[in-house]
Amino acid sequence: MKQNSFQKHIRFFILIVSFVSIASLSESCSSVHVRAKQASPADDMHKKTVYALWWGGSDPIETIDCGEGKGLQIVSSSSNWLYSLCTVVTLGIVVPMDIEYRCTSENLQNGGTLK
Amino acid sequence: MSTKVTITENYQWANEHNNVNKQILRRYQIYNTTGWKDGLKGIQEMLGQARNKMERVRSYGGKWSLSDVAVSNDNMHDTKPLTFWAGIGASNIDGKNWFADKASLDKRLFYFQSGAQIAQINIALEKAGFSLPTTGASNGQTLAGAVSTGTHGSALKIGAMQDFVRALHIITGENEHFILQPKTDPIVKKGFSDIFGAVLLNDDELFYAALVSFGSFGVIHGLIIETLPLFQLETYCIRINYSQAAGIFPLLANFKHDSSTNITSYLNSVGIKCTEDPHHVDLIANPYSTSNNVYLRAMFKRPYDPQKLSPEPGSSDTRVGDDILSLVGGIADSIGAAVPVVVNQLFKDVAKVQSGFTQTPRNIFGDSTVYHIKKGGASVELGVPVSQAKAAVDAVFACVQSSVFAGFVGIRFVKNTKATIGFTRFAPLTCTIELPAVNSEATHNFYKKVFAELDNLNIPFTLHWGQEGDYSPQRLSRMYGAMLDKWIQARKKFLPDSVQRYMFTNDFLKRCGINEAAPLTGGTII
Repeated sequence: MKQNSFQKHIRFFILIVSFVSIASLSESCSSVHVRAKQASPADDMHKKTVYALWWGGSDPIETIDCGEGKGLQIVSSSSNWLYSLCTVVTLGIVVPMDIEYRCTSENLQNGGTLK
Repeated sequence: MSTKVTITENYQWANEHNNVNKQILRRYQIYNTTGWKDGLKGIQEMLGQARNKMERVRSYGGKWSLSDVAVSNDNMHDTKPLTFWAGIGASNIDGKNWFADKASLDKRLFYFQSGAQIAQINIALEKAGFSLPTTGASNGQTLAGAVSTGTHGSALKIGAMQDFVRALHIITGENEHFILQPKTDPIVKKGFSDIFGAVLLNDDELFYAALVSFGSFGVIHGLIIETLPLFQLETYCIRINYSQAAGIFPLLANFKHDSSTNITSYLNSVGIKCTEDPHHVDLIANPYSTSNNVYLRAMFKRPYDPQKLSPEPGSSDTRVGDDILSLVGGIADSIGAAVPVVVNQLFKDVAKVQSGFTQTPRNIFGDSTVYHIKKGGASVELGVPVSQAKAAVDAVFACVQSSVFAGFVGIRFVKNTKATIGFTRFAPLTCTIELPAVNSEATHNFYKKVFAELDNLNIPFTLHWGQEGDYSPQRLSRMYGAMLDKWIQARKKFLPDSVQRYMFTNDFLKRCGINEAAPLTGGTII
């Protein structure tokens, strides 16, 4: 009887661990994109995880250097099941999210007329 | 290197649709400082280094291809920092118009470096009072990338994007670069190639072979293109049954490049009131329904008149010119039995487009949203003779009934190209059938089924080089016949040194069986 109960607990533990692992490894389940209109992208998409802390008391501020005369082509913010769980468990004290961004490409260089 | 270059070792390369990923030895980003000189010199130095190491090189642009056509295992060159552009001085022009227009040719010819992106070019040309004659439905490609893979729209009398290119500036080694143009219809004099220190090469076979060659003739440094005076497109979109839409196929089978398209009365009969030929006409079909399952889109070219422009669309608005790969992004996570329901539901959303919307090309064929596709997109695009277009589309629909295909069917019509292995090769019009969908095993099985069915029906077809498909030597031989050998011979003539041919070869070419490069000392290295 005791053995059965122990096995049940083990199975439950494995189930939870598997579920959390799959959830954390899976791709983000929701995302928001903000894109500059008719902006041409540079090559690399940059990605990082940021944390908003203390109910907005310490929101992350990211400074991005795209180079002179260039801006952001796209910014995406995404969350997943694990991040949502973290937010609930910490009562909103820790709100993780993934952000992705990409700068715009070099501007066209007008060379006038080739004579 | 003496120029401004960023080299990233062991770079993880992925295309924009996220279905091609590869670890490469290094990525080069070469920058101009002022003008074009540093960009040109940087590429030459990169090629010199690659040759010394016996490594391969491939340039890429917007990473818009869904196949590995633009991928190398060794060195990859991001062209996007190379964005110089300029007009061509009248004293250097030696040619005639390709597109009937009264505006003087010397005002309409431009040299663009390879990294200029379509969105940037549209904006720059519009400010200068010109338009690209045609583009694909989206603006994310670079000019060189779009041309090299045969990107097209559905402009009936223009052709694909390579069909407005008048000359190519190709670098083949540390000390070799060429301005390549057709001998029968040259556009620039030697004085132009002297500006770059390049060799002027007038050769029809080489030019038309190099036009669609996906980086295998060398690194394209720049292109001379013929533009048109700025125009605007008045767009219409109606939703009809496929049985009505199919009425357009026999009419376009009798298409003549230099006269009426014969479809004005047809368009009137289905509800698009018009008195002149459309510049562009295409269809988007929902294969999971039989009624109201086609959007027929027609665009009429008008001289630029700012008084008649519609308000510019917001970035999230659906436009008549939207590319359907973006539209299928919403289906990406649907599976199995839910596919017909999701496709039907998503198809309704396309109807938000406004008929009568009038804008310049940059606002008609605008931003794409391919990054929404989390699991990666997949797409195959077939080219078939317009005379057999209905049979081909019917075959695709039949395959959908017995498969899982989470997508729409995009049908466009393109004037036949002169490019030796351009996939829009069928005269007078090639009907292109695009099948964008979720990247899954079921989708790829569906594509195989379509190829087999078209073979069974003896319908000849080609495949878009920048999309997925069967690129086996057998299939290529069937698609291009003698033209394929002509292309291989032209490449051999342009790159007589087998090391050069090796440098500009990649796995895609090898798979195609067109990687012709003699074995080097020590055996075959490819």
